[in-house]
Amino acid sequence: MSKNNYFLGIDVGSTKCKAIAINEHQKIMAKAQRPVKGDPEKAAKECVKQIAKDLNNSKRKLKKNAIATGQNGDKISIKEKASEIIALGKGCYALAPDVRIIVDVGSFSMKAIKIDKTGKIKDYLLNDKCASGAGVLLDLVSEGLELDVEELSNVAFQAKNPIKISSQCSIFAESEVISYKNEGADIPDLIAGVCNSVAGRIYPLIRKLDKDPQTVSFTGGVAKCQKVVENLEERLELKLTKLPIEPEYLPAYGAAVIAMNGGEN
Amino acid sequence: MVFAGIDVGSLTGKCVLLNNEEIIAHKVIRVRKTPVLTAETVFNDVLKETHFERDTIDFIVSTGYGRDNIPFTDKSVTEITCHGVGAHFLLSSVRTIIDIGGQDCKIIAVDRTGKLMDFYMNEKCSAGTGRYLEIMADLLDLSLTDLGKISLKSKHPINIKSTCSIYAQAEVLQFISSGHKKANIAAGINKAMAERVFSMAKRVKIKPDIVISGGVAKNIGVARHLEEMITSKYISPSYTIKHNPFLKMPVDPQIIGALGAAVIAKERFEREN
Repeated sequence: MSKNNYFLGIDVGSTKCKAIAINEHQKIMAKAQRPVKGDPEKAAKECVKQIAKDLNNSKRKLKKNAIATGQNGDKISIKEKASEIIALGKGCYALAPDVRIIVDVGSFSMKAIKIDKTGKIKDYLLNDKCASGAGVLLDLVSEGLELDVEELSNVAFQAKNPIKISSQCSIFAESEVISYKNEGADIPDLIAGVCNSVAGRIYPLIRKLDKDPQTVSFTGGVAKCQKVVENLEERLELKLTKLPIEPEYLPAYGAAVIAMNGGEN
Repeated sequence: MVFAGIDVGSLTGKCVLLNNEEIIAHKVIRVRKTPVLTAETVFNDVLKETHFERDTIDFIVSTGYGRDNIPFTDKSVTEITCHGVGAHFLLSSVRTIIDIGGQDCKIIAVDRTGKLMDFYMNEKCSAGTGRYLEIMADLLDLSLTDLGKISLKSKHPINIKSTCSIYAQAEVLQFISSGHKKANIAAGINKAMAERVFSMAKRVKIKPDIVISGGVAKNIGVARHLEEMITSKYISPSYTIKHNPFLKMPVDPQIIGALGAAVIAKERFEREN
């Protein structure tokens, strides 16, 4: 097998860099992630190095068929770029061609993308002006309670009467959570309230894009929190389609698919 | 005759006692567990200080976000109205009040009698509130006052692109790690804050005289920027030759809402009796 048959997608986000290599059948062959920590180029290089090692391939050859995406995708030396919207859409279509809406919620922003049955991106909505509803609130709360995001979700499932978080702004919501905690609120009820409030901010974005959404997938770091997933399903009155990939790797996977198809479009 | 105004805010509770002419006593405390408890505590503190009995107070008005359901008050009034009345009571030439609190920002326009004409209030987004500056001052390890002072030394303020406090925080961290001078970062922060408040202020017809109140007024950098922007856009040069359109509160700017509530208590009592 020729060693050139790998296609690399690198998603350089605001906090993490994720990379995926696929073969010509769109199968994931290797993946890696590193924290960005103010140096996107270094994080990307380390990801490529790790993948090259895992695949026993040269970094130079891997970079030949590589596409960068993500908020900091333009800050690394890979020349070919794809927008995150297109990467998400293409990645989603490659994994689940029946899905018509893909929602991506990361630490700082959220996106909802509408895909037609041929895999074309029809429309999208983006919130990157305000962090309300983004993962940063879960991050802040998980820091405050010393639980990681997945644990947070497990605890939330023990809730009996979720507390309603009334603040929209993530900064105000964090204060609200702290004051509830100081008043002795039940922690599962409190975390469930936070998850519901995050889902409550994602829901309108989906409805704005499509009044009657049918098949929806949810990805990005926030999708790792099952309680948010569950609440979003309740609001949408449907089951979200699970993608056969870890939620945060979808843009990188999409970029790799684009690389395989010889660039954007 | 003695009247009381109690302002239960999100971070502090304030109480003002007023007789027919002037403020007899005032007090600011941090909030307690519930708004009712905050009101109760700050009211009792003022009574203790002045040796008044509770039943000698002729009329009590509550205001602020926790104003409702306080059992011992006679009436509750919104903080917008109270801020207008309070500012007018102290400075009768005031027509615009810009109050930047810990978790909100209010722009209030009043007429020559202190009656509310128009207002804009933001309590949904932390950008343009005291909280924004608090976060930024923390990043630079400065007090709110020093964040103002140090910014006056800046020659090249940084430019913050985001409005959202969370995004702006990430931008500022980036500036700090790339070695920008504290003075330039502080100046950029104050400028961004003032611009945000200005963009809200524009929704209300701004007329002189103007007073900037609330804790943020203590940051000279923000106050100066805001004054410059407002003056160049809304104040005619002929006016500024004769007067300074910006007034200073003669009392603690945090008690204006409670003072307004006490003034309303007095007016109500006089009307009913």
